[in-house]
Amino acid sequence: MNSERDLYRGLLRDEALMANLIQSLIDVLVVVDRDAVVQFINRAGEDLLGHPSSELVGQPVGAIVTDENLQFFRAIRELMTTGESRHCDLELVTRSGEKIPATFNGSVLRGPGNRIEAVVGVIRDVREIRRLVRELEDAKVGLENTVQKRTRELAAAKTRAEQAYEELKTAQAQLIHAEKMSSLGQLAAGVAHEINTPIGFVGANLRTLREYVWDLLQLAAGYEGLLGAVERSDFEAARGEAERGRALAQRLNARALLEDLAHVATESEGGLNRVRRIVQDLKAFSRSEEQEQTSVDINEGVESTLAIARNELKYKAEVIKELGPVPAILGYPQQLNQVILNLLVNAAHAFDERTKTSVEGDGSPSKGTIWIRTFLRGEAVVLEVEDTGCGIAPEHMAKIFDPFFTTKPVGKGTGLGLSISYGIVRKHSGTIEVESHVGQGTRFRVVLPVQAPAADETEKPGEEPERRAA
Amino acid sequence: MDAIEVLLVDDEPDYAETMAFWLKAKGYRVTTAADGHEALAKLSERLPRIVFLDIMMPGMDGIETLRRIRRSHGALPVIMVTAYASDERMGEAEQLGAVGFFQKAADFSVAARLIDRALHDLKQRKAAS
Repeated sequence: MNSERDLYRGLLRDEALMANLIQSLIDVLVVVDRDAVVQFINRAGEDLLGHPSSELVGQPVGAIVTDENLQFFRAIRELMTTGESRHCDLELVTRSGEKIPATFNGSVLRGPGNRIEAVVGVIRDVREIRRLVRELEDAKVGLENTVQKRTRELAAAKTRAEQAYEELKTAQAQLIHAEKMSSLGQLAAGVAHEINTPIGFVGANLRTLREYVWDLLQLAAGYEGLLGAVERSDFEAARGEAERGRALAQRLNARALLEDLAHVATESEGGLNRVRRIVQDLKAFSRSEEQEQTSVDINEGVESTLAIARNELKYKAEVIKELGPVPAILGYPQQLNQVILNLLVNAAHAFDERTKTSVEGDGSPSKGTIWIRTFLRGEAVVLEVEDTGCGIAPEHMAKIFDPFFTTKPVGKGTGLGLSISYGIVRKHSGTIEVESHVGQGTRFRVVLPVQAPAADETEKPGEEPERRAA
Repeated sequence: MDAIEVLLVDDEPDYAETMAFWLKAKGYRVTTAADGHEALAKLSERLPRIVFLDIMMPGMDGIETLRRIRRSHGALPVIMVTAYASDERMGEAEQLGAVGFFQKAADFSVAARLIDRALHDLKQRKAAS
């Protein structure tokens, strides 16, 4: 039995069996017998481990494999019992004690009677592969870090942009409000006059009423005397009182006084109602941005805006209302009123310009006409403000909707009116068009869809207001 | 230095062969026995430095084998091999002078340490006596 095994060992050790091929392999080829003794190792193994083959052959395989590599022994055990090839990792130990990570591919060598006599292992140094894997992993970690850093930077940039956007939105809202206040400021003198007129005649009426009351008190005193005389049955005195009373009534024109009294009271009430109406309109007008969309009646908006602007307009132009039946639209009534007011104020200013250049024969400034129209066109409500004023110069046409563009003197306009009106109309999914002829007049047309979608605040930069100049 | 001789007694040839291979790979000289009777027979032929003895074997079990080893070979270091982390027969084995326990699922490197410790203790005891 022993001699048979020895014979086989001899065969394994016989250099003649080892082809040149095996010696020139890059991988380590090692043969280990059932007693864990190295029976052969090729040149690549000698080079890698630093031992000459003669030092390794005959040694237990544990001399070149570290203790930690128990999975190597499990693989060997499975190889020995099943005969099926096995793959595992292992760690080699060189002569100088260096540990080299490697992979092991084992298969069995069978002897006489098909008995498993030895294990043939192909061992590959994986240091280079491990190094490449580490480099890849490092690169991956580096990449992940870079991506995380970039993501953080992007998030920060986004936050900054959002902040800036919020600030801009606030600034825009403030600007819109400021422009509205400016328009109102321009109207202040007119509004003051509008309030002053009724206050003036109500005051005058009150003075008249006080005189009437004085007269009535005198009459009352006469009647007091008359009543006293009657009660005393002093008919002589009563007759005298009655005559004085009648004379007084005649002198004071008591009948007319009583008639006028009612008239003066009614007139004063009317005047106070006018003041109340103006104050209400102003209050409604100067209110800040409303939050919710509501149903808007454009004609109502025209009426209340005209109430405020009436005085500003009435010395410059005759305002002709042509308000057609229009359905309510969904939107922000205060903002739409701001648009109407802005168009009306612009129209009024168009006459300021003209009076400077064109004066009637008798030297008095010509009074223009402003038409304000509403009508339904298809599925949209159209609001037109047309004037017979100075017109817009063609070279200004491209800029009239730009913020801060104005041809008005300092203090007269902010240059924001049309820009803000444009924004408001866009918010209502509408369009604003202008047609103007220098020296003849201008017509602004606002088209507001009846079924306006929920407030779309994003303006499409490509869509420009339509301008036509002649 | 002469290789340390180990006798491995285990009725499971698969396990015995793997452990033998590992011990050989680590430079021990190994003989195996498949049961208690074979173990006692091998011991009468040639005395190893240390014995790995499976507790659970059919016929004569590890405890009985250990008892007989004590009778015939006195203080020979014996490490008991068990499949379980705890075994009620460990106490009995300890009273019979077992120098360690090796669990089958444990790494073989534990077996190497047990051998080293057992031989070291033996040397000290001899020096003391």
